[in-house]
Amino acid sequence: MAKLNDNGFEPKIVAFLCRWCSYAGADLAGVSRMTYPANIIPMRVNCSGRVDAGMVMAAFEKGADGVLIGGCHPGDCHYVNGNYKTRRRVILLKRALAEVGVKPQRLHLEWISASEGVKFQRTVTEFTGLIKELGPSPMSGDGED
Amino acid sequence: MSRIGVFVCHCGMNIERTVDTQAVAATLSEHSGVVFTTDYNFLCADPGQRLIRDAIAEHKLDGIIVAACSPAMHEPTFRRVAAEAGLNPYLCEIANIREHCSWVHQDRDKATQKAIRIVKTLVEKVRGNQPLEPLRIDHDDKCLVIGGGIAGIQAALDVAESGFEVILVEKEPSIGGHMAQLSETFPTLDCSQCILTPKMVEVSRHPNVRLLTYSEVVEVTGYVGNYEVKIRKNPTYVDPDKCNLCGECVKVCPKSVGSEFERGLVERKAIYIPFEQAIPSSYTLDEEACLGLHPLRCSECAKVCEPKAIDYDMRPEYIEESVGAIIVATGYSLYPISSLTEYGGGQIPDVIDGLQFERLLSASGPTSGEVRRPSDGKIPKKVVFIQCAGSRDPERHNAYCSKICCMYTTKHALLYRHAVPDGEAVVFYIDIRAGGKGYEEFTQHAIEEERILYLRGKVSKVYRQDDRVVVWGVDTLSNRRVEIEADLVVLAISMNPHPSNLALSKILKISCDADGFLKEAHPKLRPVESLTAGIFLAGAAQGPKDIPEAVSQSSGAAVKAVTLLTKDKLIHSPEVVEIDEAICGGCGICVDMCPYNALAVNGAGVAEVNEVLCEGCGSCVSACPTGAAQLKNMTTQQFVEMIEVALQDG
Amino acid sequence: MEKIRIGIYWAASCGGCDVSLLEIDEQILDVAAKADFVLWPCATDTKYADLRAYKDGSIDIVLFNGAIRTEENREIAKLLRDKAKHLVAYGSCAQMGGVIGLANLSSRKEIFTTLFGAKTHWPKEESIQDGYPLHLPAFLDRLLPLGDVVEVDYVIPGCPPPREMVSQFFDALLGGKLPEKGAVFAAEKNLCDECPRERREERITRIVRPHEIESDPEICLLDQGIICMGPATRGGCGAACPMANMPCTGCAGPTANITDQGATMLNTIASLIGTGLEGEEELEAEEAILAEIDDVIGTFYRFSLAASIFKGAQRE
Repeated sequence: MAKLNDNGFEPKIVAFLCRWCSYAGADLAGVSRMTYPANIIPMRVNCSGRVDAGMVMAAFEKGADGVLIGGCHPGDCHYVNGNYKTRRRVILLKRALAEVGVKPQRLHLEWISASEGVKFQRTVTEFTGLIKELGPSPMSGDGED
Repeated sequence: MSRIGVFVCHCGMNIERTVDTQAVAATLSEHSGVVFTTDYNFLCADPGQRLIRDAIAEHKLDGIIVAACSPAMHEPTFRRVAAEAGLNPYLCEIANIREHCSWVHQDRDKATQKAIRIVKTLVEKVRGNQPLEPLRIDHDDKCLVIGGGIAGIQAALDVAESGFEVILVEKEPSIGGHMAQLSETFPTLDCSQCILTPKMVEVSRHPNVRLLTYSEVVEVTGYVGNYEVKIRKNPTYVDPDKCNLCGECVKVCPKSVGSEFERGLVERKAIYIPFEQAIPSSYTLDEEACLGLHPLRCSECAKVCEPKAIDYDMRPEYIEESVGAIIVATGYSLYPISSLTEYGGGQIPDVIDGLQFERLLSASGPTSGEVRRPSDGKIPKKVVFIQCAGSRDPERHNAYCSKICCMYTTKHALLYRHAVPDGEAVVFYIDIRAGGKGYEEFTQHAIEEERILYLRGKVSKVYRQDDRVVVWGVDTLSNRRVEIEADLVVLAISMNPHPSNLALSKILKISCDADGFLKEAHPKLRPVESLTAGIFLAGAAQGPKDIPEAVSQSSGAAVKAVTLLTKDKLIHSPEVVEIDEAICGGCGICVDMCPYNALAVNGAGVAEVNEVLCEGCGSCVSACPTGAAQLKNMTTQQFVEMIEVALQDG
Repeated sequence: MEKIRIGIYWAASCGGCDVSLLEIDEQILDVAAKADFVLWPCATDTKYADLRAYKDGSIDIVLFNGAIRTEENREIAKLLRDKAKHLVAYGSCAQMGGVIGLANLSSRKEIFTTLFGAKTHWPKEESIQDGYPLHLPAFLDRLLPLGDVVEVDYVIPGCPPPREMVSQFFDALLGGKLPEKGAVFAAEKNLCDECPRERREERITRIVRPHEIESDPEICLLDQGIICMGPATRGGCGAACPMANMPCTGCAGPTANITDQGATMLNTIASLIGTGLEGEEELEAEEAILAEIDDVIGTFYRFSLAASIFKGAQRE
């Protein structure tokens, strides 16, 4: 587990959660009263397969320090295979981020099922901790170095 | 949208404890386009609903956000409330500030700030929403059932009993499937045919069932409620109306092949009836086995046929039907015994599969129920049963558990002991999986009272020595090597998906799983539905199952089909993809992405959506290189605006 | 009738855009008859002092090619904005930074070190040459598209703009039928719309470069594993490159409602790549195909990096 770095920096994290698995997993974390950092702003998408590079980059452009995508586990996608398509996009997008010098860890894809409240809590906690350590995203400023 | 209302729920203390709902309402009242905000104790209660209705009317709201619990809870409730007040329900959105906020945070200040961000995103979403009407679709009210085994029969009967017409298609000359081959069924030991035959008769005589045997589904087009089906009825070369079942043809037929029904233990003629109780009760001339389908080549059968039932000129007949729902019950096949070379499968005649043993046990089988081994017809005095043959072996064979083998092996051993009281039965097992009503008791009874030796361990090798079959294995409980000289070895062979699954899944545009079984829409919550609306799954087509499970799933699938057929109109979500024709260049990339075949490039070179097929996943939107494909009320533009306000400070 | 006053300017540019103006063949006679060129550094000798002396709004239209790389480019862009009634971003570099926008992946320091070596060899902004003071315009940290510096009225895309688009523009200009501001002189649809190659709706199972295979001229290049930017690129050129058996590289920029051409094409390619099956078991094979794309930014943002959300390298 990433150690929580209390450097006073409160990152902003956008989380795209698929309606059928990860969003429901987040609901379960809520029902189970699990606590996690308040830095993520969840957004519901029908399928993780709807999350495209443009949305992720828009989030970074508008000031996100990290982007989390939650999808159904392999084989469980409500829409057959949307999660695999997003997995491929994330692989390529992480390479693009690395090529322009943004730490690819700022983008994270996790499979979280509707029954995995604990995994949702753990993912958000660890990811928030990681982004805190990385500090503000270079893309959230004006972009000039 | 310029007159947006925001309603913030306290949910008693559930939200209020950590989120300052008044502050949320106050902040949102400053947000562009928001003309009304309020906070209230329980918005889902009657007075809360009334408050929303009144506010919509009084402030002429053209969009509302209810900031409360998860949309999974009350989205339908509040959308109904909106509709009651004359607001299109798709202009009502739910901001989840309970499950995703107040319940998971403790710092009231941070939680309030987060709640404000969440609500703002939904305000932006509503601003971009358009009013939508659910799609209403007409449908046919027939049901197609593919497969005439016990699963298909049960499904067909249930649908037919509900008053809907059923077309039951079976590939083989008779319905009945594998259950017709079984001797007795576990754990009650009912005679399989005795319980199956009445059902076969019932389905064949049912006024709502049209039975098409020796037939295959060759083409399916359309969509839920409106499938066009093309069925090929293969020629049997025997007119069932004329055939009087005298059997003279069989006597004179010069050509023999292995009997499928008897699993090759005996031969049948080229003209044959699969088994005595076959339905339809008529002969079939097997085109491949026949010497030539021509009076000049042989024609012995035609010569002796008094009622002139044999017609060499019969041709395949194509039948077209429109159906509203389809139930797929294609059943299973067995893992090929010849692939189990380590057990001598396919090489040693006295190594047989479970279904062959069923035939040896069956009173109507080739040995009239006397257990006699294939090689020399001797009654075997020592039989070894090997479980998990081809199952649970990801390196060499199937990785999955075939589920029914533990139970049928117990049954086999027990029936063998009844048939050959001085015989010895040894079972090699890895685990005994006896989950089911009366199953564990059945197995325990067999082990404790029927003197069946259960050895825990895997067999490494089976070979022939003189007229015996030697089994090498390990008893892992005592950790010693075991060598048994047996007279007969019965392999509890893995269930395989039916070989027609793959082709059929392509025809039906449904998915197979990695093992080749048909894939259900959801492993837990939608086990009898395929991912394609209107196509349901029953029995072992979907995965290994025993009879009661197959029958229950069939009744489940039948209810799903009937539920669909009973509807006046089918309702479909209008939150589907639309294509901007001015931009779309017809590259067709979306077509390839759609898991539902809802897209096609039309004659004008532009992608076109069949809204009825679209499930709204947005895979095509993410792949569209021009932005021409957009999900209604979830456009890229909406997301960008949502992201912007989510991250805005102050 | 008063002649139309046209200005043409090159900023950070290769000169190809200027040449492309001549591709309109005999239409040039029409242009010459109806228009005067009041500024065209490539062809005529005009001093900045003359330009500054023009009244604001006195040039009817300025075709600006090249990107904003130096302080001088920026200054002249602003000046021309004032002098011109209409300002046109002409060519990929003015429109979105162009291929030279890929320099944004490197810092000024890296660029100068590569070009000139040790810092002592770098050119100085102020120096004395042959006894005279020489002022070199400052080299900006980042290359910018024209639109990042001044408001642009029209775009004629392409590297360089193809004859059809230039001709279409002059028709509109000479006919007094300039469209509403914001118009792009190209097709509304993507290149695929005009590409005669047949797409077979297949998955991309391998990535190859054009020289590595003998491609089938009838079949979509994507189907054959060659990354063609056509789907994410405006048409209007008649799919010139795919017609010549070369993939589109995206020089005309994206269609109207796409903000980031590279991200869009990245989505498309990642969606299409695969073994034909979708599944957990395919992950390794998919990763292997994805790994065959080397230089993700150079592939998908060849012309548009400077105008993209990334804009260039981010230092962290």
